[in-house]
Formats: sequence, C-alpha cells, structure tokens
Amino acid sequence: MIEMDKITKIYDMGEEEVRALNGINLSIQEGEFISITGASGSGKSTLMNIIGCLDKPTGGSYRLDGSEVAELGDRELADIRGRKIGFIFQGFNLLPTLTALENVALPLVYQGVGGSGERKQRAKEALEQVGLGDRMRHLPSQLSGGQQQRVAIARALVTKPSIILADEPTGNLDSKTGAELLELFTKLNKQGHTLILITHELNIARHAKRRIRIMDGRIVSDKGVGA
Amino acid sequence: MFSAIFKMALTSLKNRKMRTFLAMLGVVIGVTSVTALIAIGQGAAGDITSRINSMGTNLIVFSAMQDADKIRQDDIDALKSSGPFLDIIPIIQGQVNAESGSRSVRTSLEGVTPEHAEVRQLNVTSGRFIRSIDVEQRLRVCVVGTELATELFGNTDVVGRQVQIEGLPFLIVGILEGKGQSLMGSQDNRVLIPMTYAQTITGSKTSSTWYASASSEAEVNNAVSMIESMLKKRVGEDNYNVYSQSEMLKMAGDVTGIMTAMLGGIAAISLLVGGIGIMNIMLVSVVERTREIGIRKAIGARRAHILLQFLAESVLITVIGGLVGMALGALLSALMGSILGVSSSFSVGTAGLALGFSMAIGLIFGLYPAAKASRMMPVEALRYE
Ligand SMILES: Nc1ncnc2c1ncn2[C@@H]1O[C@H](COP(=O)(O)OP(=O)(O)OP(=O)(O)O)[C@@H](O)[C@H]1O
Ligand SMILES: [Mg+2]
Repeated sequence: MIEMDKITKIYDMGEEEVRALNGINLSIQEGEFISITGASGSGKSTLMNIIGCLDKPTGGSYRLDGSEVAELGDRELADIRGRKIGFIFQGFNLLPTLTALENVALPLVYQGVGGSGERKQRAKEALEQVGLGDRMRHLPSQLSGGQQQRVAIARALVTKPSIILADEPTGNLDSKTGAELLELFTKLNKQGHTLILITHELNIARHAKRRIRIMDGRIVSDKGVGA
Repeated sequence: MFSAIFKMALTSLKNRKMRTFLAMLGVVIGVTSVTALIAIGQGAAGDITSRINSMGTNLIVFSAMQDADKIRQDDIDALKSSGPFLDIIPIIQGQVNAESGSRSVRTSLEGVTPEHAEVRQLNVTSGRFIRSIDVEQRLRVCVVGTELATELFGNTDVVGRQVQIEGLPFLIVGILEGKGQSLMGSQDNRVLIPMTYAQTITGSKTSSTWYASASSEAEVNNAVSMIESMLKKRVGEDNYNVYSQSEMLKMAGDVTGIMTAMLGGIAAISLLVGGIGIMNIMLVSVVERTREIGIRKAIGARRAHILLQFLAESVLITVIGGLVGMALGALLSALMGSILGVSSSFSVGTAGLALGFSMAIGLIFGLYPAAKASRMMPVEALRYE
C-alpha cells in the first residue's frame, strides 16, 4: 500500500544543498509493524513527513494505496491526513488553547463526524485508551511532557486510521508508561493498523516485526521484511 | 461542523481579549461616527425643511437686486387685487443694537405689518402682535423674541417694559412664540417693529423683499409668473429673484444633501481606518498562528476549514463591534442633536451600510493571509516559530 521509488528530499540552502533523503526505495504492506532507527539528522523525520503527506519529496515517486501522491489536490491530501493517517509528532504539536479533550476531538471535526456529543465520546475513549481519562479538561500547558505525548497519541488514534506514524513516541515517557504504550501499539497492530515508528530505543525497535535503519538519507538495513 | 468551527473562532477571540478589543474598537468608532454624523446631517436637513414649511403655506418670496425703489406700492396693490394672491407683504430687515439699562444685544430687526402674523405664522405667547394703527401712526412699539427678552431682562415677562433700539425707546407689546435653534442661528433673537418705523431705523426708504402668499397651491405657478412679469417690467430681466416654497425646499435639499454627504465622507474615512485596523490585526494574527494552521492541516483540516475559521473570527469581530457602534451612534447622534439644537434622525440603513463596509474590509484583508497560510504544506507551517 505504501510504495516509494527513488524518493529524494533536497533542501536548497543557497550555496550548498542538504540531501535529507537520498534515494529511498521502500514498500510497506497493510498491517506491518515497522521501526525506523538512525542517527540524529539521518532523515527519519523527513521520511515520516513525506509518508504522512505533510511534505512533498523533491524527486521520486510515492504511491499510497495505488494513487500517486504528487498528483493529489489539497482537498484529497487533507482527507488522507484526516482519515487514513494518524500522525504522532516528535514535538506533540497540540493546540495550546484547547483542552486535552478538545485537542483529541479536533480531527473528528474536520472529518465531519456528527454531533459534538459523539465527538466528545470518541475523544474520551481515545484518552482512556492512553490512560488519560482523568486529565481531559486540562490545557496542554497544565500537563507533563509525557501526558502531552499521550494526548498527541490519543489524537492520532481517535479517527481509527489505517496507518499510524509515530516520531519518537516514547521519548518523553518513563520506562513503565513506555512499556504500556508499546503494548497499546502491539494491540493496535494486531487489530490491523499499519504501524511505523521512529525510535532510538533498541528495546522498542526490537518489538517491531520489521526494522529499518537509515543513514545519511539512505536505507542501510531492512530486516524482517514479510515476517 | 460549522458550529464547532464557529465555537473555535469564539474561543480564539476570547483567548486574545486585548487584541479582539482593539480590532473591535476600530469598527465601533467607524460605525459610530458614520451613524452619528449622517443622523445629524439628515436631522439638520429635516429641520431646515420644516422651517421653510413653517414660514407659511404657498409662500412666494421675491426681491429686486437693484432699483427696488422703482417698484411702487401701486404695483404691489395691482398684484394683490389680481386674484391668485391672498396677500403680499413687504419685508424690511437689518441688524441693530437693542439695549436695556447696561445690557446691549445685537439682534435682527424686522419691519412688519399685521398681515405678517398670518402669512409667516408668527404667533405671540403673551401681549399682542403689531396692529394696523401702530403701522399707520408709526408708533414705537415692538414684539420681541424669547431669547432677546431673556438676554436683556433675564426673563420673558417683559410686556410693558421699554427697550432702546438704536437709541430710540420702544414699548414691548408682545412676546413671540419660541421657534428654537436652527443651524442658521437662533430664531428667537429678534425684534419686530411697525413696517413704517423700520424704514426710519434701517435707513431704507422702501422694501426690496416681499413675501406673497398664493390663495391656493394650484395658484402658486400662476402667481409666480405674474410677479415675474411685474418685476421684469420694473427692474428688468436678471435683476430679481422669485422663489416659491417648493423651490426653496429644493434648494435647501440640495445644500443639506451636500452637507450630509460631506459629513458622511469624513466619517467614512474613520470607518476605513477602522477597517485597516482589523486588517492589520488579522494579518498579524494569521502570521502568528501559522503553526496552528499547520497543526490543523496535519490532522485533516481542508483549506476551506481554515478559511472558514478566520472568516468566522472577522465576522464576529465586525458584527459585535458594528452592533455596539450602531447603539453608540444612535446615542451620540441624540446627544449631539440636543447640544447643537438640531434634531437627529438615526437610520438603521446607514448604520447597516457602515457595518457591511467594515465587515467587507475585515474579511477581505483577513482572508488573504489566511488563504496564503492554508496553502502551505503542513511541515512548512509547523516549522514556523
Ligand atoms: N527545513 C529544513 N531546511 C534545511 N535542512 C533541513 C530542514 N529540515 C531538515 N533538514 C536537514 O535534513 C536532515 C534530516 O533531518 P531530519 O529532521 O529528518 O532528521 P532526523 O533523522 O529526524 O533527526 P532527529 O533524530 O534528530 O530527529 C538534517 O540534516 C537536517 O538538518
Ligand atoms: Mg526527527
């Protein structure tokens, strides 16, 4: 369902250019559980942003569920981001003026999910899923880093997307909550969600069925394909 | 979904109270000033119209610009007896000093005959008007306006007292009914004396202005052409003016129309400034919220959703500000009206127009940056600090 062919991302910095991605060939099937590791600056986030349709590659072809992403219009891209993909950002990216519950319910607003009652109910369920049922009325600034991380995860889960992309989702969590989260991810994967997560923690990467390593914008190892 | 986006717009306005207030202030001031100034302008126009109407019905004013002495009493009498006229009365006017004890007031003097009372609708509240015998015998009696009475004597209970007009003592026999302020000045600071004595005081032997009243509205045109042919014969073409009441109303309407347009124009500038204020704040706000736009897009907001949210914000600002402005404008116009002594006519139409205008400005200039931000790829917007 995800097919990448010679994907490049080049930042033109005037005199020199930064090749953040340098020819990525990648094919991911529905229901896979993939970890991506690599040194800082190796291009992990850049790749993830392109997979999540938040960014456009400089070159190459990216096909998602059979359609060439470069040819999609703004509206179709918005709908893909809203329905198909749940994105958990490295820096949370919560809206500071909305409560945890409102942040989580927001994707449902843009999806056109009916009444506010239904949206609240679904947001509440998502927050309970990540163990934040008791912090729903808090603003992000009133939550700890780990709690904000979990609000961001709940927001990605609330639409029940087929692909979940997570950029260092356990980075701000203690090992106990990290383990709980990993359990949650495993469960989601069993339910059929495709899971791609960036991490630098090897014991988390180990839980993934397929492990990809990136260095200088290239895939240097890809273990467990089809496992 | 609409209500959810609308609610978010409201929340974001609440979260930026000071900024919302400032943006709103521009609209409030703009709509207030347009509403109030146009109300004053239209009110003043109404005053002038009703003043012209109060001068008497079917009134015709005519005057000779030179050679007024060539118009003899015979000519006037001939017109009078010719049918379409109820009456024709000469007017003698001038500025004089009126004194009582140590107080001296500059006032306007008019020479009148008893017929003036009816033709020009001049009523006395106490005492009596000038009588035929006063005119025939050139008696030194006068009727004064309420303002003049108050300035000279401190009250209006002055029938039977004496006033010095250009040094000559006159007996006050009546007080004129108050007509109030108008934009052309007070109508109550005046003194009326017998026509025959006015000629002595102002130094003009004959009148150069006459008030004629036609016997009916249908006769006005006929009366005007008779007056014109008499004037043409006596003082020659181009040397006279004849105005019927409807012509005066039209002229006054033209003048007050220009005045209202000028007031409205000045006010519209403040409205424009208010609109620019909104635009400024929307611009800053959108740029500042680029990251927020990025987040919303990343979780599935379409371009239309983003635009709708900013649209809702500007609409809220302008509608609330505009309604406050309309209320203040109505209040201010009433207040200014009572201070300036003119009536004000608040019109919901102009207020609505002002509101619509500021709204349009807020929308146009708020939407442009929002549209720009909503076109960015989410990563670019998210990277914005
Ligand atoms: N907007 C940008 N302009 C220029 N260069 C950029 C931009 N974004 C990323 N880069 C560069 O692209 C390379 C890859 O960045 P990326 O964020 O993908 O790294 P990463 O693997 O996610 O690192 P980390 O583990 O620290 O998050 C880096 O060298 C970075 O400096
Ligand atoms: Mg990164």
